[in-house]
Amino acid sequence: MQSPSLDRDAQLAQWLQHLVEILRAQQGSTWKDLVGTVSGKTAVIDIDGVQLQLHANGGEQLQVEIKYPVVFQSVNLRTEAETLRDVVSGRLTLDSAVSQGKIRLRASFQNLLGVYRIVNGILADSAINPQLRRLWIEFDQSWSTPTSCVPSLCLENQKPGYGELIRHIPKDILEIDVFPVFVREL
Amino acid sequence: MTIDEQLLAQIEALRIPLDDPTLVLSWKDWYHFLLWDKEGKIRILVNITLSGRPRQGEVQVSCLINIASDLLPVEYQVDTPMVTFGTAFSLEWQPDTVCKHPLRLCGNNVLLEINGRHSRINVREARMQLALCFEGVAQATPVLVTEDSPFGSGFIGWGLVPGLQVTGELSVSGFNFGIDHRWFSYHDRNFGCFRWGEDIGWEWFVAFATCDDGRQITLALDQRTNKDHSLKGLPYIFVYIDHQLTKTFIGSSLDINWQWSDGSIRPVRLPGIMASLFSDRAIRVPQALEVGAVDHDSRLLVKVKFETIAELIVPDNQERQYTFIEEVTGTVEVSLFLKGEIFHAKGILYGEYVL
Repeated sequence: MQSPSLDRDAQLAQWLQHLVEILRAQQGSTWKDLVGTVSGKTAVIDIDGVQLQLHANGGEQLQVEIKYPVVFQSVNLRTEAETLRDVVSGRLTLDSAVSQGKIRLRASFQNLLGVYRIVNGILADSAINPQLRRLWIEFDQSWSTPTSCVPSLCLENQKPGYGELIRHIPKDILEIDVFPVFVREL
Repeated sequence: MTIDEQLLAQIEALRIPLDDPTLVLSWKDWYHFLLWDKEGKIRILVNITLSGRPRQGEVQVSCLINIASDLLPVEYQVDTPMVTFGTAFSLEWQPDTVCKHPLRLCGNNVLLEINGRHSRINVREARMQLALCFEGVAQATPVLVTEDSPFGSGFIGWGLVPGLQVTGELSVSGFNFGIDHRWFSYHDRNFGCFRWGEDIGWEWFVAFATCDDGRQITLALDQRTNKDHSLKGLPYIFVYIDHQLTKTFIGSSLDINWQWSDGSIRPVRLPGIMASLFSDRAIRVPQALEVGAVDHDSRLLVKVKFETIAELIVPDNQERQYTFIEEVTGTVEVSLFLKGEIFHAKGILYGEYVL
């Protein structure tokens, strides 16, 4: 449960540190993806307006420093808890959330792919790691939810969009052939 | 009719050996209920599974509901005759979650009680605005089919009670629907020790159909398979007339033919992390099914047109491996020649194609 003595940014920081420790203890591909993607980098995240600045370093001995309170105009990841709940409950895919602007990301393409791999890895690991499920439940039950009740949608309408990102790329751009060999020669 | 209460108790008993501290996490034990109204306009599946062991296991709850569009306000209608609602959630299995005698499983938003012929089930999920509560009384002949059939790396057992008298209520998005004695209800039990995602699968259905003269035919089919269904075990169909087990077709007397869509689609998936993880998975889906059975004195022909499909993805609890359960419902026509008598009946079928 969210500690009454902690501010929301402190609580969010504590949950993120806990997530890192669960993945470290688990090791495996998700931990490797996390280390490979975030080590040596700084990012600002914003969930429901609560901002944190994260700096990761140390490679395999990864340490994450989290600063708060902070206020940045430009953040690397901005979303709402309700969007995360929709993704975890299967009502919304990750890429659909991004293309609809429900998750705003600002990073290089390589880092975006890394984040995508990490999130999918955590989703897959949650079936085999009860600590991840417990952490999610703690967040889900403690973090505020909107007071208005959204009418339930039937599952036919909830079928999450897939391939949303690529559908937003103009057809003429998609038809450009890319030959990696030329890139190397350049 | 008389029910063998001792056999019923044996079927319903929790099989996970709770007293064994070295119990492997591959144990599972589940209680499966289906209900639908007389016209088949509301079809409900509830599955409550215990997986693993206390403190290191889960209670997994799945609830899938198909409702005819015309029972719902316009804003809920889609371009299919049936609309699907559902939820899947899990709870940590605490030592006080389960009582074995009489069976009681109680957790946040889920209750299952079975005592003799009587059962009580409550499932609620606020986020999906679903609530289901009903009580059942076993009416049909119970059958304990197997307790130890080889399955994947371990074994599976199952028994069924394909007829309960039920009363209760379903609430979906604030719309309430009564459940009464005119509804059909089916219940089965599965238990065993194996891993989801192994080289396992099955083909299964229950059909409930009514003849013009009011007699009721219930059919329950089962055939265990490997994951791609290239290897198939012994198939069998139990034939019940007015809740009494009357006939069993078995083995080579049965011919089971599924017809599939030409193209692949992304089916409706029961919400949950697995739906998110596999959101891009497209599959060919069952469109029709025909089952024929003949032996020296009886014939059966079952023709099914599927109307709904929903996919339930079940993860293993130790490795990233998965079993995919295609839940299908549709209309069924049954022609049965038995003991010199001919039965023609129409009704609803609920089936699973598992891979």
